[in-house]
Formats: sequence, structure tokens, C-alpha cells
Amino acid sequence: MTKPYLLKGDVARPGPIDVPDGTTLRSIVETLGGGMANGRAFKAMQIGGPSGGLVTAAQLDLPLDFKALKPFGVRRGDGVLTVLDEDRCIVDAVSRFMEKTQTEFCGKCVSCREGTRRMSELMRALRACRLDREGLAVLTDHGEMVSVTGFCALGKGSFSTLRAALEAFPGEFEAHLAGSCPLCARETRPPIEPGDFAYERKRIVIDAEKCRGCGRCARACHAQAITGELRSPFAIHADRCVKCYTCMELCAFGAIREVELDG
Amino acid sequence: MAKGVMFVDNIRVEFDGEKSVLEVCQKAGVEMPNFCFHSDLSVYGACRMCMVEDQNGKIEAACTMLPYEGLRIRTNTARLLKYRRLILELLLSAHCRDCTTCEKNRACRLQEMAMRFGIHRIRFADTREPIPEDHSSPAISVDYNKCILCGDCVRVCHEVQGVNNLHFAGRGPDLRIVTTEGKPLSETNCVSCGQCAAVCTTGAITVKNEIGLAWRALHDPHKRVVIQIAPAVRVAVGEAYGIPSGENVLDKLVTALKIMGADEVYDTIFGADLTVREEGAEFLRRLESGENLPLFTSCCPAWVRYVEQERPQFLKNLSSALSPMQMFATVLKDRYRVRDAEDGRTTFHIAIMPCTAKKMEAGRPEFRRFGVPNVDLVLTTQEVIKMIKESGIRFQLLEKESPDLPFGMGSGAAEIFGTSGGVAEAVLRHCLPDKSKNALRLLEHSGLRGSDPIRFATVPVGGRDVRVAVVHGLSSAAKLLDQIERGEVQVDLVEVMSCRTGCVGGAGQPYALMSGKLRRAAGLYEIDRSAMFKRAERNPVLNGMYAEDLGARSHELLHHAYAPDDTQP
Repeated sequence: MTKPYLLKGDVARPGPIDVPDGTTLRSIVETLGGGMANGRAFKAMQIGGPSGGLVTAAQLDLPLDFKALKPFGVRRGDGVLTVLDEDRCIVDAVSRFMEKTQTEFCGKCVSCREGTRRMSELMRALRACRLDREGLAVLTDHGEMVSVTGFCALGKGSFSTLRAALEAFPGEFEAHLAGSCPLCARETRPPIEPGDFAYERKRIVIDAEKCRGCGRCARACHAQAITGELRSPFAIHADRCVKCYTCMELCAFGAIREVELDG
Repeated sequence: MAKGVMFVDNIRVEFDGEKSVLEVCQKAGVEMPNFCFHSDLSVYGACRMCMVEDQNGKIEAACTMLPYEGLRIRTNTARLLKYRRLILELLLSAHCRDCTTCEKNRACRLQEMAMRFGIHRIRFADTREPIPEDHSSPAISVDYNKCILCGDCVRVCHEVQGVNNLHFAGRGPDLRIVTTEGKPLSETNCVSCGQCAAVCTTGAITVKNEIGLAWRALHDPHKRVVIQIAPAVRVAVGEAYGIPSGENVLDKLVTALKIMGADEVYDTIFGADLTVREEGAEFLRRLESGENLPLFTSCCPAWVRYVEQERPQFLKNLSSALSPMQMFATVLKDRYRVRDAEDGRTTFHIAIMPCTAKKMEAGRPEFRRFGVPNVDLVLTTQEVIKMIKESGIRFQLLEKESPDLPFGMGSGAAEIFGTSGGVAEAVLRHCLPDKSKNALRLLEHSGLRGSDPIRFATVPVGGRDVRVAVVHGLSSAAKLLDQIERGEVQVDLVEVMSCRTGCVGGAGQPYALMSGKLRRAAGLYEIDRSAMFKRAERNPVLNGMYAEDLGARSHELLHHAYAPDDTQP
């Protein structure tokens, strides 16, 4: 059995992956992801997005199996594996995952609705080096409260990433508390945002030069993804296309083909 | 239903049919902190205040936890207290904290909890965008900035009243309470029953405060302030002063109102007797002709509005007899027009009601004569309690004083108007040809009294069996209407009260749970038992008035046929 995941971050080959049962995290990074990008060292992997958790190099030999990873507060969550290299600031990364809860939670229960909101605010302040030690204590108090009293797994998991990061990389938190973070100062790359990833690597497109505008594909498309004017080139809307290849097989002019996107 | 023994803070408690650990805790005498749990509504589980810790250290919300044999829970461990404080601080940090000027000051659950858990410092700033308040409704004021999203109002509007006018909208940080289509309350299908205000844990939804208008009238020497007091008020006012609910404190209330400057204080039971006579006559007429049966009572303004908006096909079935408040007011204003002309003062009529919808009813255009409303102002029980406190009157120590005559007397049948089943019983007492004590007793035990949402009874009237239905809560009423439309039930007389338990459970009354409301109802039945006369037709004042000219003018003064075209005010 395999399970689908999305691998992203600082690996050489990010993208959708099928992970066979029992695969270790190390082989995911090194084989499926093609190793770390730019030759930097592995620092941490965030699994599951805002309600998931964080693993470090020490846990790399564990399989991607939720019984094995449960002690580290990891849930499958949104099914995204985000790999961070040694030059990424963990505080920056965690704050972005915390921020992500704000677009994900439903707002029903008080602890998650108000709690994660305040936690995101505090995390933002910490990222900007504007939080003192007392503020960090408030943050962890609330994190603990939300993780126990939250109504559903999203609220209950919202503290896991931060808790693991605090345990594994206390130095970086200290740096942010002290007022300046060397990693953040050096960073020039865009930050890794949770979610927001071009999941589709393949796309069906119509070659405008070959298309004669007969409309046969548009009539056949059951997803109604193809539009155009007769006698002029048609176009496929990627957001509607379900990649059934019906149009490709139908096209008399061979104008429809599959392309692979990079990234 | 599960049955067994569990332990709450090491106290052995037997449970039998309790739906949640929270209810078992209450049985054990632990007052669990919560905002979103309401025994009359469904379980929601959003406030996370009622968390308990079991023997394995697992923390769960008591309201959504099922009791089981041998369960041991603690309700006050150090962790639980810490979490509760954090949750309260979070709630308060996103709440408009103008407590001193809030309508619900000292009656607010959030404030009470903050006090109970000793929250003295809020470490977060309120960063929400302010939402404009809604004062459009004649009965209810809404301040969305004070809402803590416990959802009680949404559930009461859907589950108990079936009006479906309040909803959750948005998601995550945008979650908020809205009316249907987000319109101002006055433009929606709100029936002004006020139950949302009655269950609101904070000051977000409140009954419209019109105390200022009352004081202005009481202090105006050119105004003759005449007051009527509804039956349900007298058994609830005392609760604010430590007097048990159900105890009749009408006499003290009269004294208090006189001290506050009222010129004349009367009793709405006089109006109720009028309603009984008019509605009873109408019922007998319809029974004879078989037209427009079943007859629906029309005393409850929220119910009338509900029929107008949701079931206009039943408008013809509504009794054309006015509600007791309007009966009283029309007769009073009619009589006092002469007096007003004589002494140059204007009569300002205040009705003290257990009800928020009466504020809406008083403003309806059809209840105005000669350009002035019959009832100038409706005050709820709560507002009167506030006014008495404002006057510095020590209610418990007041002397007793009876309501004035002639409009201060009425039958026992009129007293029980304030409870569910009372109107039907009063009308039947009037219609029964058998006037013996035994007949009354049979009526008492016919099934009209009780607390079931829908009750049926069969009473023999004039050689035929009259089938009566008593409903309280608009969602139950809707159910009955459906059954009537499908022909599943055959009824001749239907009494509908919008609020559970009738007027004693009205939204203008002090906050009470079901048990308290039923104690108030029992209080009214008690008054009826010791009443001088039990039937409306024995009211000597009324008999005199009917003999004079009221009989001839009854149609002009005492009836209004609700028609589809007066839905829009």
C-alpha cells in the first residue's frame, strides 16, 4: 500500500509522491525527494501542516507511520511534508504554520478560535524579535491549553509544531528573544509557506497552432473545461480539467498534448 | 438510558438517564462553569469551560461526555482551573468590556464567571473591528460586539421557536451571528418573542430598555400615568428580592408603583376577563356554524406575528378578540377620553408585561385610536425591577396595597392566562354550561394543565365533545399546524403560547430555568384557587359595563380580525 503525500521545501525534487508503507523519513528525503537542495544539511521536517507536527534529524530513521510518529505529536494533517534545511530559521517556519491555522479553523470552540488567534499574534511578535520571555510563557501556556481543550484535531494539533521546535531548537528561540536572529538576518530566499503549492505537475494543453477550432473536444469534455470560438483555437481551463484524456484521444489534428511543469 | 454509579470529586453519584457528565455533576451539587450548555437546548460543546479530568488524567468536556459505570472525574484540578482562566481571559479579550453601562451588568454569565475565577488582568488587546449595533426592532436590541458565539440564541431560535431567524455566518475569525440575510432585525421574520435575549449569556441580545420613557411620563405633571400589571409578572417580580418564585407579590408591586409616581394601578386580569367573554362567545358561534375551526387564541403577539408571516392560511382561524392588554387599554382609553378633556391631563398608559413581543404589539398600527396608541409604553418585568431598584425602594419591606377599582379586579380564570393552558381553561370555564365546582375540577384534570409541549384534551360543551389542544413553543405550534393541515388531528380550540410554559416563561421575566418557570405557573394556579370568583362572567364590574353600552360597542372596541394585508407595519 502507498499513501499520497506532497513533498515540498528544500529538497531537490519537490512534488507529489506516493509513499509505500514503512518508508523511512530519511529515504523520503534522499530517494523520493532526490536529497537536499543546494547541498545544505537537513534540519527538520514538518508533517501535516497547521495541525501536524515537526520531526528533526534524530527521528529521520523512523518510518512515515503514525503509530511510530505519534509520540512526536505528528498527525497526517493536510498530507504535506515540508523539509527545512539548516539555514532556515525555525521560528520563522513555525510562525507561518501557526498563521495557517487562522484560515483553517472553523471558529466554533473558544479555545481554538481565540487561542490560536492569540498564539499567531504572539508568534508573529516572536518572529519580529518583539516578544519577551514572559510573552513566550503566555504563548506556551495557551498552546498547552488549546492542545488539551480544543474541540477537534485542528485545535488539538495547533501546538505540536511549536512544542517540538521549542524542544529541538531552543537556541533559535533564545536568539529571537534576545533581539536578533543570525539565520533570519542571512536569509535571502523566499520563506516556505504552508499549503499553497502547485500540486499538479502535469497539465493538458491545446496547441494553438495545430488547433483548427472544430469544437469536438469542447463538446466531448464532461468537465466542461474546454471553451473557445469555432474556427479559432480552443483552450483548456486547468482548474476544471480532470485529465481524463478524452479530448486528447478525440482530436483529429493531434493538437492536444500533456505537458510536464517544472518545480 | 444508561444507569449506574460514578464519582464526581470523590462524591458517589448515581446516574439514571442523565445525558451527559455535566448533568451528573450538577446532580452531585457541583455548579459546572459553562456558557453554551442550556438544559432546554441541544448540546453544542463550544465554550470548553466545563472540562473535567478523568482517572487517567484525560481531559474532556463534560457536556459532551457520556457517563459510565465506575467513571471517576475531578472538576477542579490545577490544570483545569488554569485552562478555564485562560479561556475566560481569551473570551474577555475579545469582548466589549463596558460592564458598568451594560444592560446585563450583574446579570451576565461572562461577568459572573470572570468574578468566580478571579480574572483581574487581560493581557491581550481587543483587535476586532467594531460591528454596528442593531436597535431596529421594537422589542430587542442587539450588540454584536458583546457576543461570545456560544450559539444559545441560534439554537433557541431554531429548536424551540422554529423561527429560524438567527444563524451562524462566516468561518474561522469571521464567524459571527447574523439575522436572515443579514438584515436589521425589524426587517426580518423575527416575531419579537425575545427568547434569544432570555438565553443570551452576555449583553449581546437584550430586551429593549424603555425605562427612560417611563420615568419621563411618571415625572410629567400633565400626564396621568395609568398602569396595568399582567398576571405572570406578579409571580416573578419577587425573585429579584429573594422572594421564592411563584409567590404573589402584586400588592407590593402596586405600592412600589404608587411610590414611583403612578396615578392609578390596575390589573390586566380585568382585560383577560374581557378576552374570555369575547373569545368564548366567538368560539361558541364558530362551534355552532362550524366555520373557521379550529379557533386559535390570539393573546400571544409573537404567535400572531408568526401566523401572519409563516402561515397566513390560518389567519382566519385566529380569534378576533384582542389580547387582554389591548382589551384593557382600549376600554381604558375610551373611558378616560372624557376625563382627559375635563382636567386637561393626558392619560399615559403603561403595561407591565412578562413579554418582549408586547412591545411590538403596542406599536402595531391597528391598536391606535384617534391617533394615539392604546398602550403608550410596555415595560417588562425586568425593567420594572430595575426601576424599583433605581428608586431605592426596599421591596421586601413594602406595605401591601390592592390594585385600584374599577379595573383592578378579575376572575381566577383570568389569573391563569399567564401560564400555558390557562387561556384554554378560562375560555372553557366560560363556555361550559355546567357551572358547578365539580365541572371546574373536571376541567382542571382534563389534561389542559402540564408541561408537555403539545397537550390534547376533550371537554364536553353543550352536548358535543370539544377537542382542545394546548401548545407552547412555536416549533411545537408549527408541528401541530402541520398535523392539522394534513388532517391527522381534529381540534376545535387551540391555545398557542410562543414561550415555553407560557407568559410566566416570557423573555421579559427574570432569567429562570424550566423548574422556576413551572413554579411560577403553580403560583398562578394557587392564586386562582383562592380567587373570589373563578369565571369571567362573574366579574361584577364587567357585567355592569356590558349592561351599560359595552355589549353594543364590543365589536368596535374589542375585536380586530387579523388579515393578510396588515402584516407589513
